[in-house]
Amino acid sequence: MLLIETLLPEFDHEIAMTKRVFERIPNEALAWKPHQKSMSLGVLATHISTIPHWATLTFTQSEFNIPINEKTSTATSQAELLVKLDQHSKEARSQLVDKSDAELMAPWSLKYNRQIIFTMPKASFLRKFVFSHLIHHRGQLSVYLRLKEVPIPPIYGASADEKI
Amino acid sequence: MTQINELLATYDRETAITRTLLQRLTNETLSWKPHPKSTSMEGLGRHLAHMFTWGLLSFTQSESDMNARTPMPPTQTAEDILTAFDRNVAAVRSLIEKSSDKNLQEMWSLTHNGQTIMAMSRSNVVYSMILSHMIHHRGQLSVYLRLNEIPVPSIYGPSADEPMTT
Repeated sequence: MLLIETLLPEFDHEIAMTKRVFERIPNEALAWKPHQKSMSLGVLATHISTIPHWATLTFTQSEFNIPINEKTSTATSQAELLVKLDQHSKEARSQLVDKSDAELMAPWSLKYNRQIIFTMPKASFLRKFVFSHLIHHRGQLSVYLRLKEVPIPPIYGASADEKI
Repeated sequence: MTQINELLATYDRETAITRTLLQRLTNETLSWKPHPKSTSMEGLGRHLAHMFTWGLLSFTQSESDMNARTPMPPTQTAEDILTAFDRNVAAVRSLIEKSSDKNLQEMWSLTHNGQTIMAMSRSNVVYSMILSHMIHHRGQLSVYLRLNEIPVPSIYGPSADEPMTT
């Protein structure tokens, strides 16, 4: 089985679940944050919408520098968030779709303050910084939405509001 | 790199991050919940430890019943949660280690009242049912820590409290 045959269905599944969560975001909650140190809901959701773009960068750039200049302004509406997510994920999917195991196992470096902090195969990078990273922040978003009295869709199991 | 090495590298990296968060739980905050509908801090920590039992089933059987999982022993303290997490993480790790790339690709099914409700490869059980599921709830736990004024560690980048670690 090719690596992409396991990665792509997971990518599609996670993007679809993210879309379902985004569809619940109320516009009036975008500026809200649960704690003064937290990102606002709008900043958090914008960040999530941009993460799939990192998959595109993995195949179009030779390295990453953190903080990554995401070149994106904070979305001001749910509609804009859905458009960003859709654009970034479609673009990423078109990069991913035909990747061979050799391309996915090619090494990739992440830099922080211009120093290499690690080098790992592209497949591992995708799993960590695209899939896991997105799931992590979507988990945070689910708590934000709960605190704003928004019914939560099932993510990896039933929520307090909805069954699978 | 074999699939098994790749899976173990991801497994070790992600479970180590989760452990960092669980180590910060305090007994005083275990019953706290951010909303009446939410799981408590204890419930979330316990769930993070318990989800590894899917690995115990899927690597020892080809088909398991929903109700076959060993019930989670009670966790009364933050230390109980960490102990349960460590025990389950180590048990699943040793099963993965003894596995093979071929075995990882073999399908496992979950049944309920004799009906198959899902089927996936063992590798997918670890990536999806355990790790992605864990990462989702760990994300929630990071907000719980924040709301309890507990410093949040670096997860995929720097937090508001701590610089990036890898």
